[in-house]
Amino acid sequence: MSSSVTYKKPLGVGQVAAICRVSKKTVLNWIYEGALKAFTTYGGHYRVWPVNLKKFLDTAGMDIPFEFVDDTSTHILIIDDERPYAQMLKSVISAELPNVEITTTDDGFEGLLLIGEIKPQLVILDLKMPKIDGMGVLKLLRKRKIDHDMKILVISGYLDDETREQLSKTPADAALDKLSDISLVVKTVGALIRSESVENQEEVAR
Amino acid sequence: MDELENDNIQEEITKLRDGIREIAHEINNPLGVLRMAAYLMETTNPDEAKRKHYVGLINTSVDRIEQGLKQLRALRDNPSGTVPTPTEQP
Repeated sequence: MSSSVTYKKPLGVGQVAAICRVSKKTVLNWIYEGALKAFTTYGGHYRVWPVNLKKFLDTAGMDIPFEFVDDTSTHILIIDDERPYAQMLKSVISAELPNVEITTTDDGFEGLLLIGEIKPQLVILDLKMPKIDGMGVLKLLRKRKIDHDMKILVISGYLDDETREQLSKTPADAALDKLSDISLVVKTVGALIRSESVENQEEVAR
Repeated sequence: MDELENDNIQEEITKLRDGIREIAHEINNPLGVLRMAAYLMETTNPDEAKRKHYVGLINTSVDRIEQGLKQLRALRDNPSGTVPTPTEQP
């Protein structure tokens, strides 16, 4: 495959095999071993985000030209009924990650519909909302199989023990208090859209 | 202290705790907005229109914090009462 192709969307196993000039079986082995990060579609097929293939190629030291678009394919959805807060959060993230597309909604139900429509890589979810609260949205998302790689960052007005206990039963990928330091918010958002795990949720949550 | 009285006290404490939790939520949202407004004004060199927008949000946030403090005072004066409805958010 020509190196002039720039990849933006998740790649199938066959595409990865062609890019790396190996068999599909070899690609599947990389995935099974955990060396190549992949996610499964609703139909049970593996997909690999270009950024993860790039990471794999770099880590494995494979000299294969591979061009891809990273940030421009990243979409964040903010679900928060506190409009001034959502607006400012959007401005802060845009200032730090200018190529990321951000959509906001103040309604949990609309948020669920938007997830299917825009397939965001990250959902930033407020917990306290009318109609369906963030915990309700989180429970639905955890029950439902999402057919794309999506992280959830809970951002709560007041992250007290009761909320932490609820989150221990229905975990998010990270949780922050609305008063968290802005640099921590930006760092967490950046890590989540790069599909890095936020190792210590408690540390992030404080 | 009989059992009934003890139950009543527990109920009052629960109400008070819920009320305080509610107010903490109410106050943390505008405080978060203030923190982000300060960050953006410091780090992004905003143009006049954006600066006015941020100042507007700062003012409405201060109003909301004041409202939260009023709720807190109302709770102090009437601990077993319900938390007064907050004013409509901007």
